[in-house]
Amino acid sequence: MKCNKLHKDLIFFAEGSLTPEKKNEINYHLSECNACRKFVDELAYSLEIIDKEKKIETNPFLFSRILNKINNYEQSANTFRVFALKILRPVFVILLILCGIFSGIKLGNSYSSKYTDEDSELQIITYYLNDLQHESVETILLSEESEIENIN
Amino acid sequence: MTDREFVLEIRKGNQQAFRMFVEKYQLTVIKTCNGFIHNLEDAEDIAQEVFLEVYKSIHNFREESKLSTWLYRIAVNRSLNHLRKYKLNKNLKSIESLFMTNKNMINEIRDNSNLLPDDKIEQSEKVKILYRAIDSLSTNQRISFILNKYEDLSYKEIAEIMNTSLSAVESLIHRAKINLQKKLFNYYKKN
Repeated sequence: MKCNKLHKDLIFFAEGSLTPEKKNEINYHLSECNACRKFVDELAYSLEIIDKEKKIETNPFLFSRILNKINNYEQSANTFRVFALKILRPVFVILLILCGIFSGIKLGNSYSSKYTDEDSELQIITYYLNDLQHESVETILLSEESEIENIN
Repeated sequence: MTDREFVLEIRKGNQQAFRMFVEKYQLTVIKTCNGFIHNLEDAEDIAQEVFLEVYKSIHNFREESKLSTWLYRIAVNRSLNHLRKYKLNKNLKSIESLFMTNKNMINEIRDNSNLLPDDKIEQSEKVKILYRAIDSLSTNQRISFILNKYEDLSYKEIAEIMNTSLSAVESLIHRAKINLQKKLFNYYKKN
């Protein structure tokens, strides 16, 4: 029963972060309970492993390795920049010009295809039939003449 | 040199300042990465990527947080990405973990050359169990636990790195320790 009650605090006991009262209570229990004592030893050992893992020495070659990586990165960035400036830009301009020419041709074709030869002939005939409409001055004269005739 | 001076000098492209910066923070970064990876060689590789990232992104660093906080964030993210990539290929993982455990085992045996062979095997087994227990914690619990245990950072600093509240960090670390204890207890109960 006591084991269950104290069990959740064992890791805090092992790392030494408990209050003195709680610590004394667990110490007293550990003096009586062999199983809990063994488990606390295991926990303390696990925490020791972490402490050991923390002890790392500085690597004198780390900076030169990082510098190599930076140089590689800058080289690849420069290569891309050169590639973008010398190749991609002219290709883009050529594509833009081609696009303009192509769309011009397309637009031209779509305009001429609206009117067939028959359509243009019909337009000419219609123009001749309705040519009075386009000569507004003569129409006015005619209408004036008819008005004078009416008065007379 | 202060962190502010480091930022300004590295932005200018001062290589000497960058060298000093790497020297100042390399252990911090390697230890953090090693807490996640549990393999020193891989941790050093990730540390190199972290410093490269700093070099590339220093112009985008807005100085809203401390330089060290930003560095920890990059180190944590890089380590987690490494683990994610590592998990993607399950076949590769099984092969690599086999080699990794062997490496750890060898390191442990070298460190404790005065132990009997049976004790050495038992010890390396315990190391593996501890790593497995840490790795099985939820991501946030793991981050907070590693920053607290491996880097001895205060709860306040961890809260800044994780961009969360102090009480949330306290709760995360408390739960992480209890879960770790449960996992270790289950193992020792079995054996």
